[in-house]
Amino acid sequence: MILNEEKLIASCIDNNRQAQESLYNQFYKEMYLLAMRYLSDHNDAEDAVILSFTKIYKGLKKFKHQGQGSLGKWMRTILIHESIRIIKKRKLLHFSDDVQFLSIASNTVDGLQQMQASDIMLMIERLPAGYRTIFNLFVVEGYNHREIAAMLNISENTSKTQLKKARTSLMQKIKIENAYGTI
Amino acid sequence: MEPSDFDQLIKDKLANDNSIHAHEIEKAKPFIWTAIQNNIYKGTVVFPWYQVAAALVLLIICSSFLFYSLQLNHQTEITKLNTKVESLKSYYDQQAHVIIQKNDALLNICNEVDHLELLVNDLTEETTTNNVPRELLVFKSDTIFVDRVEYITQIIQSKDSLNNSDILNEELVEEQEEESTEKSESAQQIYPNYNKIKVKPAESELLKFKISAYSF
Repeated sequence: MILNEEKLIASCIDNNRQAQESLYNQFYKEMYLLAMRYLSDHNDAEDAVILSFTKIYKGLKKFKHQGQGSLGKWMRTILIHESIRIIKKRKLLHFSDDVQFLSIASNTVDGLQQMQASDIMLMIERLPAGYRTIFNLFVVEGYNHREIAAMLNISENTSKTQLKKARTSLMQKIKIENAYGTI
Repeated sequence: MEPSDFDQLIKDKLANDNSIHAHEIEKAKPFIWTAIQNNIYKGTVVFPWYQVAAALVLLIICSSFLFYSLQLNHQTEITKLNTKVESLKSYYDQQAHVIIQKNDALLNICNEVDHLELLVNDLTEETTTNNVPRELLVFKSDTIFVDRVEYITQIIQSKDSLNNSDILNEELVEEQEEESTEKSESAQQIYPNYNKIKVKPAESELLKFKISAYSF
């Protein structure tokens, strides 16, 4: 049963099980993949998804629908915050300085264009937690460094530095992928 | 290439649908849904507290009313039953009194019957032992006049002697003539004499009849 977002939200607020399940089915895969991109662990990703959906269902009464797509964005935001909370709780957020910056080579770009989305996803998951988090927040979600710094309780410079390092790390992986054909 | 282009390229790639972790995602889906449901409805109350309170108050009022009405009905029933018991009791007393009176009357009758039985027994004993009526002896005497028919015996020897007789009946004469023809010898002839001129008193005594004592 696919309803428009407003009707779906209203039904979920009325504790309509069918509507709740419909909302879950609609956003489950996207939310799981998003959690995996941040947490890189299935158990943590499941916890993040469970806690996020629980908060979503309980918070739907206060949610103000602002057009098509606003619900999804709101749900993703909740999941991201939940994922970051888990990362902080596990004390996985380390920012290292051991990666040298590299410029983006043309062959890297060619290699990247030939790669599949799943391959890129796997490369991002294998980044260190700090790089991965900032990269996802900045590149995928579109947060600026000031917002990222506020979310992670770091400075803007740290956020920028870590982003560069994340890019460098990814490029190295792409190079390896192109050279050996493995990930 | 600018970093922003690199970022955009990666972002575009990630926006495409990918099948990574598809197996794990599908496998975990029902369990995650169950966990979410448990979290949502854990400790949830179907009815708000004020609705529950109002329902409880209403329930108490209704049950109180019900119990009161039951008690009232019960009380009424008991009162009715008490009245009925009282009336039955008084009726019982009346009937008991009547029965006692009738019992006394019955006893009196029984005594009378016993007394009468004794009398009867005494009477029957007297009649069987004495054979003499003690009380009523009715004597009745009647004088019975009996018409006695006198028979005349005539000895017939000849025809002449027949004419001098007192025989009036010619038939008898004829018979006698026939008999006389048959019998040449003397015969005895007996015939009644209906001559009522002479009245003789009855030779019988006055008869006395004893009538039993119980004829009257």
